[in-house]
Amino acid sequence: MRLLQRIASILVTLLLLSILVFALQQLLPGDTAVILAGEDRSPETIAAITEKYGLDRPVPIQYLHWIGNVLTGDLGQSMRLNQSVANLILTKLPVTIQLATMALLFAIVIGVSIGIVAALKANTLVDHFVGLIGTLGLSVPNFWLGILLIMLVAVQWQWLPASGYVSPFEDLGQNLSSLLLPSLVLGTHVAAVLMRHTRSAMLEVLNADYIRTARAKGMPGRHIVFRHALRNALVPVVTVGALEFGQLLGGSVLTEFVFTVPGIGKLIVDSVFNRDFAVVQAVVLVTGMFYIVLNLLADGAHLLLDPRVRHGGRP
Amino acid sequence: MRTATTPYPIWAPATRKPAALAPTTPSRRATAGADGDAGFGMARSEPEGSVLEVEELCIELEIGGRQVEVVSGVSFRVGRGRTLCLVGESGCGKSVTAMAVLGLLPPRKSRIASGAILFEGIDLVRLPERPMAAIRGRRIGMVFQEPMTSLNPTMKVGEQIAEVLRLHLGMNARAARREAIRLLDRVRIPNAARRADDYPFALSGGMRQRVMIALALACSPTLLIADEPTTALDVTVQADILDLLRELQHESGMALLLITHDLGVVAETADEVAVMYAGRIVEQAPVAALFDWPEHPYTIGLLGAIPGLDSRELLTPIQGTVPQPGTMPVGCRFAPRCPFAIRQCREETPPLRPVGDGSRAACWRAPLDDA
Repeated sequence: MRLLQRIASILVTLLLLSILVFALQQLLPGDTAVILAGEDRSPETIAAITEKYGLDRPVPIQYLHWIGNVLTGDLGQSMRLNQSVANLILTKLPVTIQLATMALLFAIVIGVSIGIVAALKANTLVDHFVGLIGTLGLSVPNFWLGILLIMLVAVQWQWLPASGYVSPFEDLGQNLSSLLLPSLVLGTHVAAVLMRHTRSAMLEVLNADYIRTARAKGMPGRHIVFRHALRNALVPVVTVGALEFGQLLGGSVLTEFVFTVPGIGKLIVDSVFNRDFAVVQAVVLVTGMFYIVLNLLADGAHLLLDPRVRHGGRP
Repeated sequence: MRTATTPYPIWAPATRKPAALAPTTPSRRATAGADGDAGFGMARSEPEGSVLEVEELCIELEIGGRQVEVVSGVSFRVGRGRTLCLVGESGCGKSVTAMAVLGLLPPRKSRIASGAILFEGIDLVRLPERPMAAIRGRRIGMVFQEPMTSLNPTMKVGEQIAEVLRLHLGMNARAARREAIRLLDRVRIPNAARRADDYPFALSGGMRQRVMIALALACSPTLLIADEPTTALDVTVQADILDLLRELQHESGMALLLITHDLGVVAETADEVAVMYAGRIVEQAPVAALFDWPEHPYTIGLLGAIPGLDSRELLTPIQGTVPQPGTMPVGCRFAPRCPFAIRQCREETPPLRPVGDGSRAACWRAPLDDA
């Protein structure tokens, strides 16, 4: 029953998302056909575009036509790059997914472990220092950190390449080293967020009565931290992590630009500059869908971690 | 078809395995048993010996950045198989005392300023964390006040009990589970084998408190500390839990330190009662003597504040309020509220001294016959 509700709400959200994305096109000032035509404004081209996209028909019909195409996998044609949008996204998306995944892994390893330490050492010098680093990580701009890392690690020390991208199927080692710096940059912010959430969740859990019970049972400290406290503390952290991951998948625009990584972020910026409207529309739609799916996955993880939710009880 | 031809090879290792493990498992159990026997052996050698002796215990807590003494020179002893009730209002230091016995006071925010806690002859105050952890849950069990929040919400209750058995008795997973189910059954949880796989949220408050008791008793401790074990429960469930505690104590011969503010609970369970007020023990007596002939004015006041069945008689509240830690009056701490107080009470701290009938009271005016 809850699953059905959940699926229904996802379908409604997807519908609203598609309407919103479609409406973007209507919001643009001027004639859509002229905009889609770009620089080539000959009457024939405009007529052809009007004809092709059915722009002379009523808006709801246009939407139905468009959504029908989207559902059959036809996201339209890129005006600039002369290939299908679906194809374009399929080539860029894996890059962004790999980058986002590496960034998230880095963020989880650093953020969660430091968060645990900060909670265990709450209100000590260590904790204050970690808090300071966390604030720095939250507030430092991505492009600045990226440029700094390029200057130090790539130019000064020459440990890693400054920019570019190598496909993992060509050379996995080079692929990883080309994405290492951008993933560190992207992961820093997420690590800081996860660190803060882990710290506060752990602090709350460590003060819980059942932790006192575990201590009264004579459980060793690490056992209490990892077996009793962490699992309970991770519930809110997982949700935050999933949302951050969604943001990474859609929003690494600046970082991809600084490191010239050919991912979705770079694609959308290029498309906006080129007024390649079909691409913009499709990227927004796809990243929006990612968000929804990740939300669902976070709920699934929640279900795994917390038996109260699993059995339909109150959390 | 394949299963029909190969049952034996599949079966064989499975049947051989326990046999191969057999020599190790019993020997491990044997050492655990020897441990326990040694403990009991010690007990038999000193039949009058007490399991727990607290001597002149002073505990300081950090409150608002200041070190404040919340327990001042508390002494008591709990004999083998006996029940001592520590009675007092909330904030009088009884729970802090219990936490000190378990070594669970918050490390940076509290300090045992002086005194000794002798458990089977070992001074727990001076015991390092590692051996202390080996005593916790193994030789001292603890039941807390809040059954709703004292169990880990993301772990099955059976596992939470099994965990303690594996840690202290070195049982393997299967033996621990079997023992956990037996313990759940022993605390009268119906359908124990099924309940073991429940998470705490699926159990009622009374059931959870039974699980807590099973957990505390898992390793047959010689001392059980129960801090307000029935306060959070319905009245009918309260009686069940107290019955259960008494029955289990009778079976195992463990000592029970029961902390409560409920004089009804005291009357039902205690052998001996220690009344605490503002961080000090003001009166200590066998239960019958305390109820028949309370000596300290505070105890008298407490008994006067129990609602009787005959509700026509008015409750007599004690005038005034409990002094805050850090602003304790000089002399007897109850003096400002005491109708019998004399000048000496406000100047000198009364010692806990015998006043007849096995009772001891910290009152300059006790015994009060002539008052």
